[in-house]
Amino acid sequence: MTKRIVVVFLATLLVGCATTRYPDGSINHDPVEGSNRGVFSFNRGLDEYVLEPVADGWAFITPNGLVVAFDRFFTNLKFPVRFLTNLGQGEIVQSGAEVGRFIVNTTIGILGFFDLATPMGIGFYEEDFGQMFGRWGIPSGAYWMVPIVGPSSPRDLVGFFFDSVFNLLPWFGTPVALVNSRAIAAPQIDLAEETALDYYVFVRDAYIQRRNAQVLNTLGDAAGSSDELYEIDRNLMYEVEIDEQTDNSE
Amino acid sequence: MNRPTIPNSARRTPICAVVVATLVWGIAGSASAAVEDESAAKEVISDTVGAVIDVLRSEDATSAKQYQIEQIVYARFDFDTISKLVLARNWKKLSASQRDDFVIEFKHHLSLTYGRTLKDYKDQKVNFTSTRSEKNKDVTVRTQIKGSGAEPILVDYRLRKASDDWRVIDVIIEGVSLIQNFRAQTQDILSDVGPEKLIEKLRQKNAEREAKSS
Repeated sequence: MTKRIVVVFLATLLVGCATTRYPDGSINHDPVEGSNRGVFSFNRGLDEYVLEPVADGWAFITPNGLVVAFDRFFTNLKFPVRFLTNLGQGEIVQSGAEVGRFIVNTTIGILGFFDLATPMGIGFYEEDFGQMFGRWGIPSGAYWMVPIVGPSSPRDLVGFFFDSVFNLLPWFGTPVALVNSRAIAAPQIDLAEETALDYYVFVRDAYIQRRNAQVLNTLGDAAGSSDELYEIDRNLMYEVEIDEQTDNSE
Repeated sequence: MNRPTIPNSARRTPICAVVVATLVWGIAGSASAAVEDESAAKEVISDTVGAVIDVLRSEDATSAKQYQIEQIVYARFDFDTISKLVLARNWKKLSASQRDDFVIEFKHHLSLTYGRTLKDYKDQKVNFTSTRSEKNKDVTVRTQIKGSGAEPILVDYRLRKASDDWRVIDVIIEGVSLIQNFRAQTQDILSDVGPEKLIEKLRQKNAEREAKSS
């Protein structure tokens, strides 16, 4: 069984590293869509029958303030990840701030349940290993839906492994962290499921866009997406009739 | 350094002055235009968000609320541009009547979605963090909403000026552009089953959600 997983993993890495393109030259981000969709429905089943009910229960018995405090606690424990990956991207000042933040919040913030660093003006710089690799110029590779882990890519999965290694949270705490963050994300997940025309594509695109923005650090400085996205195709201005020749659907 | 050259430079002064004045005037002019644009765009967003939240907090029936939110959103979002940007090259694959249908259904879909999004945050404060003029003269207005977690949720609005009015052409939540996301979704549906099915799917989804919310 383990051997099979390793084989599948390696095969996907290979697929992921080869850039796949559509006939029209645009990049195909999801060359293994078939198996990804299979894993996606498996993950959704797991969520529906295990994670979501537990998270709902947790949210029901836990006051919202405490859920948020747990979120801060778990975030604080990821300090080594932020410290190392800020450093690895040459962000010395930011990794220094993370040290200050960790000291303040772990002590007077009582193990990180309270955030006293932010009111003191100490910043928060959410970086991880996947983002650092991206900054180093390593491409993400193909989109890959991983069992239990969720949306990922060869680069981000390796990053995820290092993130877990450097997380101060002991392994037995992981399920609690997972349940807590599922409880926090519940409104967004409900909204997405309710509004998406194709929930699988919604999640894939949201993941790819968000990771790109995180790698480029455009989440925090309004640099926004590419200007190309906002250009109305010039052909559209003149085109009135349906042009059969441009129909490249298979 | 070289004192005797003063008369020379004095001779050049009129031209220099004109050039400098033009430059300064030009830069100041364009800068103040950008500042004006940004504050106009920001006002559109704060009006829109405020109006929608007022409706959500009111005691009206759900269907009445939905209608009011639609009116607010329809007036401030540029759905023609949004539809063209979402469908991009695929816009050409739709017949004229399919395009009209798509815009109508998409409009409905977006106003439902927008109202639904803000519903979760109606008791939270919306902070306006900054504005930015984009290269193509669009303006991005950045906001933060306190969500259910420790970190606030980042919501950016991109606006474009059309006949003196600033209208929203995209909403970017946590780095995820709605246009890009819908483009990905519609692209797949269009190439798999075609425009008629896409419109049908939107129509069905809207009906489902309306039934659920009322």
